Amino acid sequence: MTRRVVITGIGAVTPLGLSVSQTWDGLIKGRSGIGPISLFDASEFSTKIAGEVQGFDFNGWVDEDPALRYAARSTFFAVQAADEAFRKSLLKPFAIDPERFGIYFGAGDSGLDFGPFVESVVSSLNTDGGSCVVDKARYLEASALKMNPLSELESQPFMTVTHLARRFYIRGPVSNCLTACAASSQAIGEAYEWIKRGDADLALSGGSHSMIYPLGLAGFGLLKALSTHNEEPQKASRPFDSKRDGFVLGEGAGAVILEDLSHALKRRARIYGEVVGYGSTTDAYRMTDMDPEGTGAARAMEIALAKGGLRPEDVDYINAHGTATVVNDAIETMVIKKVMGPLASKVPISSIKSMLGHMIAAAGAVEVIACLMAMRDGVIPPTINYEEPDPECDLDYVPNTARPANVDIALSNSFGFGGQNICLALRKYYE
Amino acid sequence: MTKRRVVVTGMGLVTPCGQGWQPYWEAVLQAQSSIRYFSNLHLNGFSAKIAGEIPDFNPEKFVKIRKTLKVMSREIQLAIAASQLAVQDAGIALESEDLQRFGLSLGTGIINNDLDEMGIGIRTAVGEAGTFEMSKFGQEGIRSLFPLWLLKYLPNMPACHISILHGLRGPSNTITTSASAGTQAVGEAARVIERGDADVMLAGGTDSKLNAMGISRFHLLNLLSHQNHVPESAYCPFDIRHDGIVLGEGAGLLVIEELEHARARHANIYAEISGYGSSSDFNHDPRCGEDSHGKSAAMQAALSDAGTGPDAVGLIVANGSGIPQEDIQEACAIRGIFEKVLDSVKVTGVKPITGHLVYGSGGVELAAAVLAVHKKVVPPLANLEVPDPECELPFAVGKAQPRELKNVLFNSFGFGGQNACLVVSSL
Repeated sequence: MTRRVVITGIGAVTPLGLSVSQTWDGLIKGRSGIGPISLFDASEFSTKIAGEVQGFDFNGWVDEDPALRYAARSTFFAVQAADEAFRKSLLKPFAIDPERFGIYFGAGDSGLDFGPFVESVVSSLNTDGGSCVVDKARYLEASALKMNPLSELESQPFMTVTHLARRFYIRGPVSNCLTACAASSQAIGEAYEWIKRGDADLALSGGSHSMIYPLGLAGFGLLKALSTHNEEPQKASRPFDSKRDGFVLGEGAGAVILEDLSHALKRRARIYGEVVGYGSTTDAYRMTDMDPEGTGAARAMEIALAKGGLRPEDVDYINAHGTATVVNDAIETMVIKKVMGPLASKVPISSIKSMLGHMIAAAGAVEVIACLMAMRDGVIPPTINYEEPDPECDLDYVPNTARPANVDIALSNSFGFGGQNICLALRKYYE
Repeated sequence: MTKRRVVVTGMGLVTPCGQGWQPYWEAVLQAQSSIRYFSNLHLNGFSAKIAGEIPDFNPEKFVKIRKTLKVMSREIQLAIAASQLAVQDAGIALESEDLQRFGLSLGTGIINNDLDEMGIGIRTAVGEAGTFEMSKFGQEGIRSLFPLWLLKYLPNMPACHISILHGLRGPSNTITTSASAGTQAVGEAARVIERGDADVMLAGGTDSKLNAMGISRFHLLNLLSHQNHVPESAYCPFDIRHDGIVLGEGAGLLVIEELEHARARHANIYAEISGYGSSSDFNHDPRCGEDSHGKSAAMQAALSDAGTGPDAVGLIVANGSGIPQEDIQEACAIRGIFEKVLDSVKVTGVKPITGHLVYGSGGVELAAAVLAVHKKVVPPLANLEVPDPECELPFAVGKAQPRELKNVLFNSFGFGGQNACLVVSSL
């Protein structure tokens, strides 16, 4: 008999709030979490805005759990989101068999400890104008003095999972994937497959990331991927609108507890929804551009539908990848038309990146949570900043205000740099 | 429905021993380490001076479009080469495969910045006071960087380039659990095939920490061996002298495929991937791990996934990182599980041959486990002279010994406490 997989806990830390309820409240009110960057002096960068997490109590977490002292910013977000998901799941840590409890996360790396790194580089610059800009021997000596070993360790993309496993007594299967913007959707999809196969009864999944640091902002800026609507930060992220000019960086974490249905029923858990299909494909096209034919992305959606035993007419809502780059939104629109056929213009589609910015590795998990909340409350979050239609994006993007609607089946799309396409099919749980 | 079985049909290795699996396997059989004094960086008074370096790697042999080399870090180039060697070794004709059913799964982590490349941006941002100024970096520093700079360093770019090169359009994954990542990538790829989402996968890992930032990180964590005076025998897991790792560089990718698919194309089958298990420790710092239960859990999970017990395992290819605490934990975990059969099992390890390849280690070392099964031979553990009394195990020493091997257990443990084990079996 096939094991069914349900979601029994959710948690979020986003630019709109420090919990699912705060985030959801902002989303359905159509609020933007974007503002001027405060984490470092970005005043001379071409993009000066981002969706930062506000009011997070880092010290409070260190007081409670000293092992987090040097942890990366995004690890803190992950720990708090996971903590919320746990509280909502009503799981008791010692009542679970730790070896039947897995963790598959899509946690990002956290960049360098920029200050000490830059100091180390500056003090080892070659002045003789030779071919080497930096004297490596001097860099090694300087970095050994200036950089903190634990900060360096904590910046690695496996440390978030390390802390989560330690903190929540998870001994079972473990993994962390970092497939760019698709990472946390992929993590949820893969964790779902684990439970379906029987490798675990429970899994903590989701993702966390912050790329709002000088090299992250510089790197995406150089790729011309970021919006430069600096004057009106809250209007900068404009998925599907004709004036869109790139994405806005966001940061945060989304965590979900996946559980074997019979395990959840036995302990009378509250069920937020069911994962019924997972599609994963590759474009094999270019490093950053989506395949203009959208074949791979369409196939990911079709696989998710087919695995869930669903037809296009069953879909009540599509949570779009919708990054607000000129090309991606047009291709995603075309892909949805391909998959949904004549129903494409009838299904509500929205991009919550219009409000949260692009949380990169964490984006997909928070979008899954938005789908579950839409099912629970019967309301679809809007795509804000949708003012002027683009002829290439001519579907129903739930413009600007949330819409009441019964959502039984939702699809969540995540298409990452590098050509990774992920689609998850989610279903409301009925007894 | 019968379970879909997964077999290894091709192996592509680029290691300090040379290109292809053959020179690597030869070195493994001879217990011959490729660790040498490190020529690439001038390390002055720096404590680590030895490494497993690939001295003569020519990326142009593998990357036909020269200008794309500019966007490929060394990790990407090594992975591209390994992928081509693996596809060749598998004798698989890509033009007659359904490439939507051909995916890839890689272990790769943070790719370190080239300091000279980054240094240009930082140098430009140094103000009159001689210090870095963020505003100057924003104005001029960024503009002096290579526009596609970020793309050289994203962890999923090795997978991206490989998918483009071979046209692979099945599922793709990039796993970042440090030293266990490559092994996990293969284990997870095997699951993708088993559940029917693909018929063939390229899986393994790639890494090169032999750059200033990579060495700096390991040095900061005090994880590097100090035995610079004896490069070839410095890296000695489980030996009384073990005092940390010696870094290496390399990539190992395997072609794994569904058994009937392999048979239908009359492929050479090396061995079966029959079991996979992973687990977490509760440690949070690789230097002070107290917990060996996680390591036992992963081994147990892999064995039970393979439907086999310790008595049917002839050889363990240990993680053997050479970090004393980790070696002791692994020995303890192995003794716990293999307690009753310690006289029938042998334990070996292959990290001394190439140095620790970190994200590249899983794919490369798995090739040794696969070849042990395929060639029916137990390779010795290099550089073991006097075992650490806390690591007492039935080690394979001396010459390589011929032996029928039904099952080999392969361990990979990451620095963050992520453990992955595979069982490799003869068909």
